Amino acid sequence: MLVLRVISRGPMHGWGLMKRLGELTDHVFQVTPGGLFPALQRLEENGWIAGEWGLSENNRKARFYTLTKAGRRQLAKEADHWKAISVAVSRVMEGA
Amino acid sequence: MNRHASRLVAMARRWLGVDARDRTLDAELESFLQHEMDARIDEGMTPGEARRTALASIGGIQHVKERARDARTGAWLDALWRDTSYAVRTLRRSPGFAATAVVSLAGGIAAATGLFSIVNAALLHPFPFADINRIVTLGVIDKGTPRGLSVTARQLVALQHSEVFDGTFGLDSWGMTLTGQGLPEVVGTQYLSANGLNVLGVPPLFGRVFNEVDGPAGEQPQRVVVLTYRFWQRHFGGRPEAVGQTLSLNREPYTVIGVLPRQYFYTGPEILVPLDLKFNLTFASVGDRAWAVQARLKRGVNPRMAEERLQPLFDQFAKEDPQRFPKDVRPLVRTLVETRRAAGFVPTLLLIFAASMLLLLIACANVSILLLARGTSRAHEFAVRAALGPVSK
Repeated sequence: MLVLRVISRGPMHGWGLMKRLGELTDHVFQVTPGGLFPALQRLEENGWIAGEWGLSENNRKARFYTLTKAGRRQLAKEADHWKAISVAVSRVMEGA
Repeated sequence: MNRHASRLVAMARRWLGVDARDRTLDAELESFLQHEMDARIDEGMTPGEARRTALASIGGIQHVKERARDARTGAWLDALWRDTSYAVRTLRRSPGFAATAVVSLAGGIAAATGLFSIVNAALLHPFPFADINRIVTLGVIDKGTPRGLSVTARQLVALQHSEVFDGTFGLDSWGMTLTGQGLPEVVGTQYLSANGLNVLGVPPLFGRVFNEVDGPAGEQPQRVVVLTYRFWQRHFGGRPEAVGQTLSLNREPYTVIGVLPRQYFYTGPEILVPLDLKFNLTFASVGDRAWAVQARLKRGVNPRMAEERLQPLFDQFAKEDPQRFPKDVRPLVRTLVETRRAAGFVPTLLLIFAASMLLLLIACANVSILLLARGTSRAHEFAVRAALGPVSK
């Protein structure tokens, strides 16, 4: 879900995605390449993201991922689901 | 052969797009590494240092590739191929070991399957007849002891009218003397009431089988004979013209009306003739002729129900014929399969079967011990491999 969300802001390549995730979460989530690339492959297999080769800001070849329509739907679904869970969890935590 | 196999695999991989995805992954990881290095050079590292630390931060390119491959659908197929090819390679490297393992496993499997075939033929599917589970043998329980039943022609007719059976026939086996073809010989003969083959559901290979018309109850049956496949091969060399010829049996001419397929009566009798069911009361003085009885249960009737419903009939037999039917005799109805399973050789057969299974188990244990021994002798190699770090599965 987090990967989908970051990509939804615009095309991203693997390395940039990893750095961005680190920054956004204040390095709470340290994504490793060993976790990232299998995840990207799974998302692509499911048709939620599409990869395309391009040049990165420092003129390196890189594979940029964009969100597909199906990916957008999936992101909305997962976001709703997450919202429901987090609301429920925080209610319990605050109420207890 | 190995080359063909690897070409086949290469084709399959191309077709599945495995190679293309591997190339993409390689390029992507390379790109990732470049970015990581660029970032480190920006922080002031030398290119060499940057490359080394960047590689370290990725934590093993090969490892990442493995994990990415495992995440794909159908990854198990790839893994299966790699494991299989590894197994084949190691087996080829030690042919002695491979031969020992193959021979001991082959021996175990051969013994087990061979004996299973026998058990299957003798106990699981012993008879080729149609509706085998409805074919029953009738017996009696006399003071708690089961024994065979023998009935007179009249009693057989009474049983044929019973509501629990849709076919009942008497049977007997004896030898008939065949003359007129070189040396006389005694031929094993199965006598069946004329309806017997129809009740058993035995079809002819050639010609026809006998039926009620050939031997109505109480009348002299037609002099017709049905040949088993064996007898037909032996005496007529498998010629279809056998049907319609005449055999001299017990010095009476019998017309050959049909031949049975190979799987029927492939042991035991060689020819089949209708049983003579004349109601001959004069036999009473020397004891009535009497025969064993088999029957086919009506659909939905099980042997226990049949026994219950036959009880009144047997009580009546006991009243009329106290010599053959003692007081308090109870009917016993067992399927042919049950009868066979109650036979004396069954425990021995099961024992041998169990032994063969144990043999297979021992063969497996042998091979696993061989593997263990080889594993021990390769401890050195494993130590080196472990010291070198993560190895591909």
